[in-house]
Amino acid sequence: MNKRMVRREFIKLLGVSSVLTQIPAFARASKPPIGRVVIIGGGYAGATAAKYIRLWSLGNIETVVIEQNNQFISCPLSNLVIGGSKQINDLTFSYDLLKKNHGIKWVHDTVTAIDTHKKSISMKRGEISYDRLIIAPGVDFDYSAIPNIAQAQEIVPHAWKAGSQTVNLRKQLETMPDGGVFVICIPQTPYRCPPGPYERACQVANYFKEHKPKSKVIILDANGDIVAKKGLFAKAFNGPYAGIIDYRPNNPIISIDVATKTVKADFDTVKADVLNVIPPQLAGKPTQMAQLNNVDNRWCEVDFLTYESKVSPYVHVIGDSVSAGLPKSAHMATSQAKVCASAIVELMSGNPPDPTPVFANTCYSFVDNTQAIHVANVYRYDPTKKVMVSAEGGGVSIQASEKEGEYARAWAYNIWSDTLT
Amino acid sequence: MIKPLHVILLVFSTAVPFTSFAESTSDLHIRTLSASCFACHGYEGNPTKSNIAEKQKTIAGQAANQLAKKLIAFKNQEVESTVMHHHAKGLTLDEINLLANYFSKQPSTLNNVLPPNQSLESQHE
Repeated sequence: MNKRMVRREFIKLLGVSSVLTQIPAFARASKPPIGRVVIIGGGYAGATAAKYIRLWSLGNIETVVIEQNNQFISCPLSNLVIGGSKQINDLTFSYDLLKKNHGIKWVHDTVTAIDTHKKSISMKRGEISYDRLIIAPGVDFDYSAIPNIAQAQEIVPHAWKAGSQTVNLRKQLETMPDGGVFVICIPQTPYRCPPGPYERACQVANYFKEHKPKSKVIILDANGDIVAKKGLFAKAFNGPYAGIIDYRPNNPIISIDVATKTVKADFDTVKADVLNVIPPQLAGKPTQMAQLNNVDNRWCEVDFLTYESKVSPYVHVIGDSVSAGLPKSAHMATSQAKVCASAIVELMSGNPPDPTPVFANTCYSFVDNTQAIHVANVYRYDPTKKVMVSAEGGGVSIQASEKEGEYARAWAYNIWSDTLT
Repeated sequence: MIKPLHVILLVFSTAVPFTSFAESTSDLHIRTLSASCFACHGYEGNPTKSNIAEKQKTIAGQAANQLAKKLIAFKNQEVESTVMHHHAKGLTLDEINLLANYFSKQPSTLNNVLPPNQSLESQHE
């Protein structure tokens, strides 16, 4: 899609919004805009940044999102699809309200190259220039240690980006005979959603307990121990799922035989009926195109006041691609997006950003169909270390409860509404 | 405090009324901090329309002194708490007062809706 087409679609869009009873702030904005921000990626981080740049600039910054998918599919709660208490369509959303409510220009295309000197982005069907660029692509998977799995994802899904692979994994579990073995392989940290693999193990174990009681779950963890909500997950593994979940730490994958679904790991060799390999991860492809992956050749170092890349000026990185001692969660992605959006609005209007940003992160995990556990923390900018650090007082649940299950569902509804409307 | 850019715009602008939405550093600070509360409490403190929202407490439009009192009680663990003590302990008293003030000023509405659900189409990785 070329720029002119984008503009024409935008004018059409303004026509639609003027018939709404409540005219949004952006419709009253002065013309021309003070600049253009292009955002690559419409996940939790990118969609949130787009909305808040439009809101906080009162519509004075032209905001363009480039997203290759037509739909938003939530990773949070997608383990419940694997457990069977949710359907994928419950987590699949349209971008329409987000676009309409905030006058965000939307380009459905795939980025093929980024020229940070010319401030220009090439896509399969066109080009676009920017004053500031935000890259929010989520994670990319690194199959270099297990190259045969890259081509065998139908048989060995990761299901670590919600969508068709989530549905695939659920179907495999449904067709697996009772007495079968589900094996989940966890990569070394950092990876997206630290508690996610353990939540998934609980979801599968809960499904087995109710429907396939002779079946087992084996967790092969490349890490030395459970990396998030440790005590709470250990309690679930040794309590309601004792005899079902077999947790085996220090077991990075050495090789996998796809035909027999056999994993050779450091200490164990196990044969699976359903095999779920979560590959090691790195910052998403568009950050690689812009050569921003300066931390271990994987993650992107940023200035935590603005999320501007330490490698390339006028380019910001938010969400899972950022190198930070912070959990790669959806709430974190939206909090980073809001700090970045606020800073960009200030920078583009000639003002300094907030010198000491503070934000919250709450992350829930479901241990069965109704009970959840949380970890919650406030993170505060440390001006000496120049990074976000945990404020005092953060922590986890005392125990899993249905009350927290309700909180977790409310969290999902509220973050979906905030991000997508 | 009037920032230099505001002065310039006041003097020279006829058609460009844009200045920062935030008027001070504390406005900027609380703009992003309050927005990070929205994930659990809903956009501007109003829970999203759903069967759960009926049970959820709306923080938008509550009296500032009541909100501050509650947050301080969470911070000092003087009241029973599931999650909020983990947040309140990490906030300064200034931040608690600014947050209480911010949410007290938001109108209590039921305008926050869920985005429309769709059937899953095939997608790119």
